[in-house]
Amino acid sequence: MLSNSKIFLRGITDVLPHMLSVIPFGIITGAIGVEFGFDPLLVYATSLIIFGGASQIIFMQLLSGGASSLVAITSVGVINSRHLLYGAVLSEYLEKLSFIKKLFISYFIVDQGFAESNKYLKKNNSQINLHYHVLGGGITLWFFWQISTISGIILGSFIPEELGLKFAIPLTFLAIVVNDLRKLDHVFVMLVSGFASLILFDAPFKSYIILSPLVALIAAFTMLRFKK
Amino acid sequence: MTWFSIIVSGIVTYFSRMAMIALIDRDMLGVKIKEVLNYVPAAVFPAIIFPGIFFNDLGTIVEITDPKIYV
Repeated sequence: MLSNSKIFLRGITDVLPHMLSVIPFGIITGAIGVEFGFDPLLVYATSLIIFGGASQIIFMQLLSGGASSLVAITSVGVINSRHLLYGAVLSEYLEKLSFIKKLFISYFIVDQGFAESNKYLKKNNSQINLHYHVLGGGITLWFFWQISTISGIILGSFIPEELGLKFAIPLTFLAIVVNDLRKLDHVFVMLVSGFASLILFDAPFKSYIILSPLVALIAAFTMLRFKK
Repeated sequence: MTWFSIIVSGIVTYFSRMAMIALIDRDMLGVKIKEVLNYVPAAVFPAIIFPGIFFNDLGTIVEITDPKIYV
């Protein structure tokens, strides 16, 4: 059995490649917030309190554009509701933990950490201390996210318009799923999700981000029924 | 008001992270649901990837003349 610290370290190293997109994305998030005219402290507070890149940007964009708080909060809720799915998957490996530990670990669950931990946990599901992987990855992503948004806030207008990173975020997510491309059933689910997201893109509150996965999961459910 | 919105958004986000881990008992999920959960990564990430690649900021299809193509 691997020690807690070894698994924690593995969590750290597994998410490190994602820093290629997380750091620039964090810098952009900080810089955009200041550019929208928000107080630097407030911009940083979104990283600490909300802690979710896309939802932070949408939140600030909406408020600076004059949208009501209710609209901004609803959008954040809709965009981040995908964490419910991550939680449902991870709960299999975290169910033995105490309630307090569950509450603590939950704060650190983000897309990249979920993706890497999910892969690792599936392969090593006999270990009992797997939550250290979730923690190692999650805390690392948290740390770099905080530092990079603060950098963005400080550098502000010095940041070149886009940093040429429009493709970086989708591409690093592509790296997450690339292994599953060998499995036909997963490819099917991915295509359903991808095309659904293009069709539903204009749905209110950016809800395509949760509606498309739900459509894809219904497709997966249907597919499993036909397989039997 | 903005501070209030940030805090409520934070609570909502944290709830989405915590609910399934801390509040739901896994036995409440049926076998079929657990099976479908295997497809969560395949179902979630393309919804982030596809629009990022195929749409520009205005939500229209990226054209070959779009400078984004050469980035």
